[in-house]
Amino acid sequence: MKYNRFIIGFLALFMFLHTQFAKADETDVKNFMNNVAQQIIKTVTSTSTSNDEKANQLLDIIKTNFDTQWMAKFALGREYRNLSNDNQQKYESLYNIYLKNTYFPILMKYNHQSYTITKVVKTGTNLYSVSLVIAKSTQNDAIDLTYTVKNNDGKYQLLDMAVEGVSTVFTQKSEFSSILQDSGIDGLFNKLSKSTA
Amino acid sequence: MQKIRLLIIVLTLHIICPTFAEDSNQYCYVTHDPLEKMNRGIFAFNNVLDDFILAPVVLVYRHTVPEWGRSRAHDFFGNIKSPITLINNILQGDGKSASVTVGRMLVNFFMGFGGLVDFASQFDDMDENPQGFSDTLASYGVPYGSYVVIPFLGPSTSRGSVGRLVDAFSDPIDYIIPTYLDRLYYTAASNFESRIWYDDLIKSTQESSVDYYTRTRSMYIQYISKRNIHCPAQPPIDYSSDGSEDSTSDSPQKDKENNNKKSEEDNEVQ
Repeated sequence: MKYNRFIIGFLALFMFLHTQFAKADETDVKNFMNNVAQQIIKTVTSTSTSNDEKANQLLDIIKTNFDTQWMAKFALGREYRNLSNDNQQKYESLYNIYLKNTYFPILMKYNHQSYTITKVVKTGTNLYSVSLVIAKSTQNDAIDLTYTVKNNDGKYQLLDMAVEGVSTVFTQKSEFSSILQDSGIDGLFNKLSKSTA
Repeated sequence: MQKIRLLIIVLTLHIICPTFAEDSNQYCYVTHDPLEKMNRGIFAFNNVLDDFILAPVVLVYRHTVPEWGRSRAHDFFGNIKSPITLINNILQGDGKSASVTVGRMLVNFFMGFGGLVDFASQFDDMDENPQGFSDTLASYGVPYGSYVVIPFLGPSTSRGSVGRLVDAFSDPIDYIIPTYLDRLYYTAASNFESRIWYDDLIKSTQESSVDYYTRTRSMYIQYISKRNIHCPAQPPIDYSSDGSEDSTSDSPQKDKENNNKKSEEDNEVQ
């Protein structure tokens, strides 16, 4: 009887602690997302910096808060392993600029819309899915965004952003693989260099 | 008699279509584009048309009509299509969405100045969720078939093309507007309004893509997959993988063809 009580007590304590840890994780992820959003908003709404400076600041924000190495690897898939070390570095640096050029024009259209983080869900070991809604404005319908965040040894980093279900990395992967099939890795380097020029 | 015939068709679809569900799952987030060459040609034609005719008109429109006016046009065309959504909510057997659509129609008509303002969106759980016949077919488990680019209209699928056609016939406005020419003006205005509303998205996609055709296709397939109740809410990505290990592909058929081609070449070399 005593033994049973001990087990029940232990399980209750375990579940309580587990819930508390999960809540703490979710709060940390939420804070991380809010922090990134505030950094981006501050950068794009600044009136004292030029567009070039803003673009460079955005690149810094991306490098710090996005796991760009994982994103670059995923977008290229298994082909990444066939690259020499030099080409891997060349590809990753082209990819970072490409990412900045993809996001910069979109973010520059930010028009002081409010956003709400609606849900944080743990989807795997150290993986979280964050749902965010940008409120409807006179220019846009409400926009549903889903971010995938990873806890990389205590440091939160973004792996993907899906706008209305359209994943950034999945789209890049299909785009890159189409170019790889048609014109190989040199063709992809060429196109990336042109798009980042 | 016609009503009975329609009821029989709907019931038959309800019975037959779940057998497609298994097939439909295989189409989630997977690109099936057997007409790619032709599609790329039409896509290029549409882009030329857009660059030289539509984009300049949109630019002038955006500079002359204030944001408020553009929003009213958007809300008006959204509200006027509510009956199509209602018909499809019913065909899908989705009573909850049907009641939301009716609620939206009433609120927007009486409080939104006859539909010029989407007043209903301010209430919780009353957001606009337009549904067409393509969504209904998807809910019955009908796969999307092939990706197609329609001249003048843009990305679609075999299922989407059928859906568009049925929607055009089930649009009550078509029965209110008397002449064919006026209906054509209404359709053109409605499509033009969509083009204006998505102007920023089109521009940013065009500017940032390294292969505009593939990016548009991938975005479209993901979008329709997300809307499909038989598909998961997100593409199948293994975020816990190393990245380069991930074998996720949106074109497994094309990958298979390329692998076959590669192994045939290897055999020839040997």
